[in-house]
Amino acid sequence: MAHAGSAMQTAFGKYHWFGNFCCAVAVLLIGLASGMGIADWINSMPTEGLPSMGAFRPDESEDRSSWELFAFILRRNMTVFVVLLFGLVSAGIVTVVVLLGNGIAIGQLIGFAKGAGMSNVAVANLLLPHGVLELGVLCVAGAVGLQGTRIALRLPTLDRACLKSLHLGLVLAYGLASLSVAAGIEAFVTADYADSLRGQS
Amino acid sequence: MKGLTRLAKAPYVPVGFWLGGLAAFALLAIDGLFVGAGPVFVVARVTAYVTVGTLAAVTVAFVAMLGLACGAMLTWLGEPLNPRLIVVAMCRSYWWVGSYVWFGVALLAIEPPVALTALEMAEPDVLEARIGDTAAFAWMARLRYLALAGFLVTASWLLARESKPLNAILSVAFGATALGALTTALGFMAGDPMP
Repeated sequence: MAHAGSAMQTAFGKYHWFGNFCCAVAVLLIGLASGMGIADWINSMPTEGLPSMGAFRPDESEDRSSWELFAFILRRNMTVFVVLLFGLVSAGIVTVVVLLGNGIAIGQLIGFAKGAGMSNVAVANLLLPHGVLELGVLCVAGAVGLQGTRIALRLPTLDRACLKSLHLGLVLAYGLASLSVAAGIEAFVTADYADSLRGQS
Repeated sequence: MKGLTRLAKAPYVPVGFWLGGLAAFALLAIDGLFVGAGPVFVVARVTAYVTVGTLAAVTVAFVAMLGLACGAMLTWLGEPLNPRLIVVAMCRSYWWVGSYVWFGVALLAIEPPVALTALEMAEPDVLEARIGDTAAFAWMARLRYLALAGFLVTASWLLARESKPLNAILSVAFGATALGALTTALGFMAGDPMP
Protein backbone atom coordinates (compact mmCIF):
# COMPACT_ATOMS: atom_id res chain seq x y z
CA MET A 1 0.00 0.00 0.00
CA ALA A 2 2.87 2.32 0.94
CA HIS A 3 4.53 1.41 -2.32
CA ALA A 4 1.37 2.27 -4.29
CA GLY A 5 1.14 5.59 -2.43
CA SER A 6 4.72 6.52 -3.28
CA ALA A 7 4.18 5.52 -6.91
CA MET A 8 1.20 7.88 -7.07
CA GLN A 9 3.25 10.62 -5.40
CA THR A 10 5.80 10.21 -8.13
CA ALA A 11 2.98 10.51 -10.68
CA PHE A 12 2.28 14.05 -9.44
CA GLY A 13 5.81 14.63 -8.22
CA LYS A 14 8.55 16.99 -9.28
CA TYR A 15 9.45 15.10 -12.45
CA HIS A 16 6.11 16.00 -14.06
CA TRP A 17 5.96 19.63 -12.94
CA PHE A 18 8.60 20.87 -15.35
CA GLY A 19 6.98 19.11 -18.32
CA ASN A 20 3.61 20.56 -17.40
CA PHE A 21 5.12 24.02 -16.93
CA CYS A 22 6.67 23.77 -20.42
CA CYS A 23 3.27 22.69 -21.83
CA ALA A 24 1.59 25.67 -20.12
CA VAL A 25 4.21 28.06 -21.55
CA ALA A 26 3.77 26.50 -25.00
CA VAL A 27 -0.04 26.92 -24.89
CA LEU A 28 0.36 30.56 -23.77
CA LEU A 29 2.86 31.20 -26.59
CA ILE A 30 0.53 29.63 -29.16
CA GLY A 31 -2.22 31.97 -27.92
CA LEU A 32 0.19 34.90 -28.02
CA ALA A 33 1.21 34.16 -31.60
CA SER A 34 -2.47 33.70 -32.62
CA GLY A 35 -3.40 36.99 -30.95
CA MET A 36 -0.60 38.83 -32.75
CA GLY A 37 -1.68 37.22 -36.01
CA ILE A 38 -5.28 38.32 -35.45
CA ALA A 39 -4.12 41.86 -34.58
CA ASP A 40 -1.97 42.02 -37.74
CA TRP A 41 -4.93 40.82 -39.80
CA ILE A 42 -7.21 43.43 -38.22
CA ASN A 43 -4.58 46.17 -38.61
CA SER A 44 -4.43 45.42 -42.33
CA MET A 45 -8.19 46.07 -42.73
CA PRO A 46 -9.54 49.35 -44.12
CA THR A 47 -10.90 51.65 -41.38
CA GLU A 48 -13.13 53.97 -43.41
CA GLY A 49 -16.63 54.51 -42.06
CA LEU A 50 -15.67 53.85 -38.46
CA PRO A 51 -16.37 56.26 -35.59
CA SER A 52 -13.39 58.27 -34.33
CA MET A 53 -11.34 56.69 -31.54
CA GLY A 54 -12.44 59.53 -29.24
CA ALA A 55 -15.71 57.70 -28.82
CA PHE A 56 -13.89 54.66 -27.38
CA ARG A 57 -11.76 56.58 -24.86
CA PRO A 58 -12.61 55.75 -21.23
CA ASP A 59 -14.37 58.35 -19.17
CA GLU A 60 -11.86 60.55 -17.31
CA SER A 61 -13.97 60.17 -14.15
CA GLU A 62 -13.00 56.47 -14.14
CA ASP A 63 -9.35 57.29 -13.35
CA ARG A 64 -8.22 55.13 -10.44
CA SER A 65 -5.71 55.82 -7.71
CA SER A 66 -2.66 53.52 -7.69
CA TRP A 67 -3.98 51.51 -4.73
CA GLU A 68 -7.39 51.03 -6.36
CA LEU A 69 -5.62 49.93 -9.53
CA PHE A 70 -3.47 47.54 -7.47
CA ALA A 71 -6.56 45.96 -5.87
CA PHE A 72 -8.34 45.75 -9.23
CA ILE A 73 -5.38 44.08 -10.98
CA LEU A 74 -4.72 41.68 -8.10
CA ARG A 75 -8.37 40.56 -7.97
CA ARG A 76 -8.56 40.02 -11.71
CA ASN A 77 -5.27 38.10 -11.81
CA MET A 78 -6.18 35.97 -8.79
CA THR A 79 -9.46 35.05 -10.51
CA VAL A 80 -7.53 33.88 -13.58
CA PHE A 81 -5.09 32.03 -11.29
CA VAL A 82 -7.91 30.20 -9.49
CA VAL A 83 -9.76 29.43 -12.74
CA LEU A 84 -6.52 27.96 -14.16
CA LEU A 85 -6.51 25.53 -11.22
CA PHE A 86 -9.99 24.33 -12.31
CA GLY A 87 -8.09 22.21 -14.83
CA LEU A 88 -7.58 19.79 -11.94
CA VAL A 89 -11.27 18.84 -12.06
CA SER A 90 -11.78 19.15 -15.82
CA ALA A 91 -8.92 17.02 -17.17
CA GLY A 92 -6.95 20.20 -17.93
CA ILE A 93 -9.56 21.54 -20.39
CA VAL A 94 -10.18 24.79 -18.50
CA THR A 95 -6.45 25.40 -18.12
CA VAL A 96 -5.76 25.02 -21.84
CA VAL A 97 -8.73 27.22 -22.83
CA VAL A 98 -7.93 29.98 -20.30
CA LEU A 99 -4.20 30.01 -21.12
CA LEU A 100 -5.02 30.16 -24.82
CA GLY A 101 -7.58 32.94 -24.27
CA ASN A 102 -5.14 34.99 -22.18
CA GLY A 103 -2.39 34.43 -24.74
CA ILE A 104 -4.70 35.67 -27.52
CA ALA A 105 -5.65 38.76 -25.46
CA ILE A 106 -2.01 39.65 -24.73
CA GLY A 107 -0.99 38.94 -28.33
CA GLN A 108 -3.76 41.23 -29.60
CA LEU A 109 -2.65 43.93 -27.17
CA ILE A 110 0.95 43.74 -28.42
CA GLY A 111 -0.20 43.60 -32.06
CA PHE A 112 -2.49 46.62 -31.71
CA ALA A 113 0.18 48.60 -29.82
CA LYS A 114 2.70 47.92 -32.58
CA GLY A 115 0.05 48.67 -35.21
CA ALA A 116 -0.55 52.04 -33.53
CA GLY A 117 3.12 52.88 -34.01
CA MET A 118 4.48 52.03 -30.56
CA SER A 119 8.15 51.03 -30.59
CA ASN A 120 9.31 47.56 -29.52
CA VAL A 121 11.18 49.12 -26.59
CA ALA A 122 8.04 50.92 -25.36
CA VAL A 123 5.97 47.71 -25.63
CA ALA A 124 8.69 45.78 -23.76
CA ASN A 125 8.87 48.51 -21.07
CA LEU A 126 5.10 48.33 -20.64
CA LEU A 127 4.84 44.54 -20.44
CA LEU A 128 8.08 43.04 -19.17
CA PRO A 129 8.45 44.53 -15.64
CA HIS A 130 5.25 42.94 -14.35
CA GLY A 131 4.55 40.51 -17.21
CA VAL A 132 7.48 38.16 -16.58
CA LEU A 133 6.36 37.53 -13.00
CA GLU A 134 2.62 37.59 -13.76
CA LEU A 135 2.74 35.25 -16.73
CA GLY A 136 5.27 33.02 -14.95
CA VAL A 137 2.86 32.62 -12.03
CA LEU A 138 -0.05 31.94 -14.40
CA CYS A 139 2.07 29.27 -16.10
CA VAL A 140 2.78 27.70 -12.69
CA ALA A 141 -1.00 27.59 -12.11
CA GLY A 142 -1.29 26.17 -15.63
CA ALA A 143 1.22 23.44 -14.74
CA VAL A 144 -0.89 22.50 -11.72
CA GLY A 145 -4.12 22.64 -13.75
CA LEU A 146 -2.64 20.39 -16.43
CA GLN A 147 -2.14 17.71 -13.76
CA GLY A 148 -5.91 17.29 -14.23
CA THR A 149 -5.28 15.11 -17.27
CA ARG A 150 -3.22 12.74 -15.12
CA ILE A 151 -5.88 12.83 -12.39
CA ALA A 152 -8.59 11.96 -14.92
CA LEU A 153 -6.55 9.05 -16.25
CA ARG A 154 -5.86 7.71 -12.74
CA LEU A 155 -9.29 8.45 -11.27
CA PRO A 156 -9.98 4.92 -9.93
CA THR A 157 -6.64 4.77 -8.05
CA LEU A 158 -6.63 8.29 -6.60
CA ASP A 159 -5.91 8.53 -2.89
CA ARG A 160 -5.33 11.22 -0.26
CA ALA A 161 -1.52 11.02 -0.55
CA CYS A 162 -1.74 11.59 -4.26
CA LEU A 163 -3.94 14.67 -3.86
CA LYS A 164 -1.65 15.98 -1.10
CA SER A 165 1.29 15.77 -3.49
CA LEU A 166 -0.34 18.56 -5.53
CA HIS A 167 0.57 21.03 -2.69
CA LEU A 168 -2.44 23.22 -3.50
CA GLY A 169 -2.07 25.35 -0.35
CA LEU A 170 1.53 26.17 -1.23
CA VAL A 171 0.58 26.91 -4.83
CA LEU A 172 -2.20 29.31 -3.73
CA ALA A 173 0.08 31.09 -1.23
CA TYR A 174 2.82 31.41 -3.86
CA GLY A 175 0.30 32.69 -6.40
CA LEU A 176 -1.11 35.32 -4.03
CA ALA A 177 2.36 36.54 -3.01
CA SER A 178 3.77 36.67 -6.55
CA LEU A 179 0.66 38.22 -8.10
CA SER A 180 0.65 40.87 -5.35
CA VAL A 181 4.22 41.83 -6.31
CA ALA A 182 3.30 41.81 -10.03
CA ALA A 183 0.19 43.92 -9.39
CA GLY A 184 2.29 46.33 -7.33
CA ILE A 185 4.76 46.76 -10.19
CA GLU A 186 1.93 47.18 -12.70
CA ALA A 187 0.01 49.71 -10.59
CA PHE A 188 2.91 51.79 -9.29
CA VAL A 189 5.56 51.50 -12.04
CA THR A 190 3.99 50.47 -15.36
CA ALA A 191 0.96 52.76 -14.94
CA ASP A 192 3.24 55.79 -14.47
CA TYR A 193 5.22 54.80 -17.55
CA ALA A 194 1.97 54.41 -19.54
CA ASP A 195 0.88 57.87 -18.36
CA SER A 196 4.19 59.35 -19.49
CA LEU A 197 3.74 57.68 -22.91
CA ARG A 198 0.20 59.12 -23.13
CA GLY A 199 1.62 62.55 -22.29
CA GLN A 200 4.13 62.28 -25.12
CA SER A 201 1.52 61.34 -27.75
CA MET B 1 -36.59 2.61 -30.66
CA LYS B 2 -34.17 0.54 -28.58
CA GLY B 3 -31.27 2.32 -30.25
CA LEU B 4 -32.77 5.69 -29.39
CA THR B 5 -33.26 4.65 -25.77
CA ARG B 6 -29.67 3.42 -25.60
CA LEU B 7 -28.49 6.72 -27.11
CA ALA B 8 -30.50 8.69 -24.55
CA LYS B 9 -28.88 6.69 -21.75
CA ALA B 10 -25.31 7.06 -23.07
CA PRO B 11 -23.43 9.29 -20.61
CA TYR B 12 -21.48 11.53 -22.98
CA VAL B 13 -24.21 12.11 -25.61
CA PRO B 14 -25.98 14.80 -23.50
CA VAL B 15 -22.67 16.65 -23.06
CA GLY B 16 -22.16 16.60 -26.83
CA PHE B 17 -25.80 17.69 -27.29
CA TRP B 18 -25.16 20.69 -25.01
CA LEU B 19 -21.83 21.55 -26.65
CA GLY B 20 -23.39 21.38 -30.13
CA GLY B 21 -26.24 23.62 -28.98
CA LEU B 22 -23.86 26.08 -27.37
CA ALA B 23 -21.77 26.26 -30.55
CA ALA B 24 -24.90 26.83 -32.69
CA PHE B 25 -26.23 29.43 -30.24
CA ALA B 26 -22.90 31.28 -30.15
CA LEU B 27 -22.68 31.23 -33.95
CA LEU B 28 -26.22 32.62 -34.41
CA ALA B 29 -25.96 35.18 -31.61
CA ILE B 30 -22.46 36.49 -32.27
CA ASP B 31 -22.68 36.51 -36.06
CA GLY B 32 -26.15 38.06 -35.74
CA LEU B 33 -25.09 40.90 -33.46
CA PHE B 34 -21.68 41.70 -34.92
CA VAL B 35 -22.23 41.68 -38.69
CA GLY B 36 -19.55 43.45 -40.71
CA ALA B 37 -16.07 43.12 -42.12
CA GLY B 38 -14.59 46.11 -40.26
CA PRO B 39 -11.94 45.76 -37.56
CA VAL B 40 -14.36 46.65 -34.74
CA PHE B 41 -16.69 43.79 -35.67
CA VAL B 42 -13.83 41.30 -36.07
CA VAL B 43 -12.45 42.21 -32.62
CA ALA B 44 -15.96 41.87 -31.13
CA ARG B 45 -16.49 38.46 -32.78
CA VAL B 46 -13.07 37.09 -31.72
CA THR B 47 -13.59 38.32 -28.14
CA ALA B 48 -17.09 36.85 -27.99
CA TYR B 49 -15.99 33.44 -29.35
CA VAL B 50 -13.06 33.24 -26.91
CA THR B 51 -15.47 34.15 -24.08
CA VAL B 52 -17.92 31.41 -25.11
CA GLY B 53 -15.08 28.86 -25.27
CA THR B 54 -13.90 29.82 -21.80
CA LEU B 55 -17.47 29.73 -20.51
CA ALA B 56 -18.01 26.21 -21.88
CA ALA B 57 -14.77 24.93 -20.30
CA VAL B 58 -15.52 26.58 -16.95
CA THR B 59 -19.05 25.09 -16.99
CA VAL B 60 -17.54 21.61 -17.41
CA ALA B 61 -15.27 22.32 -14.42
CA PHE B 62 -18.20 23.57 -12.33
CA VAL B 63 -20.20 20.42 -13.06
CA ALA B 64 -17.15 18.30 -12.19
CA MET B 65 -16.92 20.17 -8.89
CA LEU B 66 -20.64 19.63 -8.30
CA GLY B 67 -20.03 15.91 -8.82
CA LEU B 68 -17.07 15.94 -6.44
CA ALA B 69 -19.09 17.76 -3.77
CA CYS B 70 -21.99 15.30 -4.19
CA GLY B 71 -19.56 12.38 -3.88
CA ALA B 72 -17.98 13.86 -0.76
CA MET B 73 -21.39 14.42 0.86
CA LEU B 74 -22.62 10.93 -0.07
CA THR B 75 -19.48 9.41 1.48
CA TRP B 76 -19.94 11.52 4.61
CA LEU B 77 -23.55 10.30 4.84
CA GLY B 78 -22.28 6.73 4.77
CA GLU B 79 -23.29 5.77 1.23
CA PRO B 80 -20.92 3.54 -0.79
CA LEU B 81 -18.88 5.71 -3.18
CA ASN B 82 -19.51 4.95 -6.86
CA PRO B 83 -17.58 7.42 -9.07
CA ARG B 84 -19.12 6.01 -12.24
CA LEU B 85 -22.65 6.65 -10.94
CA ILE B 86 -21.75 10.27 -10.15
CA VAL B 87 -20.18 10.81 -13.59
CA VAL B 88 -23.22 9.28 -15.30
CA ALA B 89 -25.62 11.36 -13.17
CA MET B 90 -23.81 14.61 -13.99
CA CYS B 91 -23.49 13.81 -17.69
CA ARG B 92 -27.10 12.71 -18.16
CA SER B 93 -28.38 15.79 -16.36
CA TYR B 94 -26.90 17.77 -19.27
CA TRP B 95 -30.06 16.90 -21.24
CA TRP B 96 -31.67 19.84 -19.42
CA VAL B 97 -29.08 22.47 -20.23
CA GLY B 98 -28.71 21.00 -23.72
CA SER B 99 -32.46 21.34 -24.34
CA TYR B 100 -32.35 24.86 -22.88
CA VAL B 101 -29.57 25.91 -25.26
CA TRP B 102 -31.25 24.30 -28.30
CA PHE B 103 -34.49 26.11 -27.36
CA GLY B 104 -32.47 29.32 -27.55
CA VAL B 105 -31.09 28.26 -30.94
CA ALA B 106 -34.65 27.73 -32.23
CA LEU B 107 -35.72 31.16 -30.94
CA LEU B 108 -32.68 32.82 -32.52
CA ALA B 109 -33.40 31.05 -35.82
CA ILE B 110 -36.99 32.35 -35.74
CA GLU B 111 -36.07 35.89 -34.68
CA PRO B 112 -32.37 36.69 -35.17
CA PRO B 113 -30.94 39.68 -33.28
CA VAL B 114 -30.72 43.04 -35.05
CA ALA B 115 -27.08 43.69 -35.96
CA LEU B 116 -25.22 46.53 -34.28
CA THR B 117 -23.88 49.33 -36.46
CA ALA B 118 -20.30 50.63 -36.15
CA LEU B 119 -21.59 53.76 -34.37
CA GLU B 120 -23.64 51.67 -31.92
CA MET B 121 -20.54 49.59 -31.11
CA ALA B 122 -19.01 52.69 -29.49
CA GLU B 123 -21.88 52.89 -26.96
CA PRO B 124 -21.54 50.29 -24.18
CA ASP B 125 -25.24 50.49 -23.23
CA VAL B 126 -26.52 49.72 -26.72
CA LEU B 127 -25.33 46.09 -26.68
CA GLU B 128 -27.08 45.53 -23.35
CA ALA B 129 -30.27 47.13 -24.67
CA ARG B 130 -30.11 45.06 -27.88
CA ILE B 131 -29.74 41.86 -25.88
CA GLY B 132 -32.75 42.88 -23.76
CA ASP B 133 -34.80 43.59 -26.89
CA THR B 134 -34.09 40.21 -28.51
CA ALA B 135 -36.78 37.64 -27.61
CA ALA B 136 -34.34 34.70 -27.56
CA PHE B 137 -32.05 36.30 -24.99
CA ALA B 138 -35.01 37.47 -22.87
CA TRP B 139 -36.48 33.93 -22.85
CA MET B 140 -33.08 32.41 -22.08
CA ALA B 141 -32.73 34.72 -19.09
CA ARG B 142 -36.21 33.69 -17.85
CA LEU B 143 -35.69 29.95 -18.32
CA ARG B 144 -32.18 29.58 -16.92
CA TYR B 145 -33.39 28.72 -13.42
CA LEU B 146 -35.76 26.10 -14.85
CA ALA B 147 -32.84 24.46 -16.68
CA LEU B 148 -30.73 24.58 -13.52
CA ALA B 149 -33.55 23.13 -11.40
CA GLY B 150 -34.11 20.36 -13.97
CA PHE B 151 -30.38 19.60 -13.93
CA LEU B 152 -30.29 19.31 -10.13
CA VAL B 153 -33.52 17.27 -9.88
CA THR B 154 -32.31 14.83 -12.56
CA ALA B 155 -28.93 14.49 -10.81
CA SER B 156 -30.71 13.77 -7.49
CA TRP B 157 -33.03 11.24 -9.15
CA LEU B 158 -30.13 9.40 -10.81
CA LEU B 159 -28.06 9.37 -7.61
CA ALA B 160 -31.09 8.09 -5.66
CA ARG B 161 -31.03 4.89 -7.71
CA GLU B 162 -28.08 3.58 -5.69
CA SER B 163 -28.43 5.55 -2.48
CA LYS B 164 -31.21 6.68 -0.16
CA PRO B 165 -33.34 9.38 -1.87
CA LEU B 166 -32.93 11.83 1.01
CA ASN B 167 -29.14 11.36 0.99
CA ALA B 168 -29.08 11.91 -2.78
CA ILE B 169 -31.12 15.13 -2.43
CA LEU B 170 -28.91 16.30 0.45
CA SER B 171 -25.73 15.61 -1.52
CA VAL B 172 -26.98 17.57 -4.57
CA ALA B 173 -28.17 20.41 -2.33
CA PHE B 174 -24.75 20.51 -0.69
CA GLY B 175 -23.02 20.45 -4.10
CA ALA B 176 -25.23 23.26 -5.41
CA THR B 177 -24.60 25.36 -2.28
CA ALA B 178 -20.83 24.80 -2.46
CA LEU B 179 -20.86 25.72 -6.15
CA GLY B 180 -22.98 28.80 -5.43
CA ALA B 181 -20.47 29.90 -2.79
CA LEU B 182 -17.58 29.34 -5.21
CA THR B 183 -19.20 31.30 -8.05
CA THR B 184 -20.09 34.12 -5.64
CA ALA B 185 -16.49 34.25 -4.39
CA LEU B 186 -15.18 34.25 -7.96
CA GLY B 187 -17.67 36.95 -8.94
CA PHE B 188 -16.54 39.04 -5.98
CA MET B 189 -12.90 38.57 -6.93
CA ALA B 190 -13.43 39.39 -10.58
CA GLY B 191 -15.79 42.32 -9.89
CA ASP B 192 -14.70 45.89 -10.50
CA PRO B 193 -14.17 47.60 -7.12
CA MET B 194 -15.00 50.98 -8.65
CA PRO B 195 -18.60 52.14 -7.99
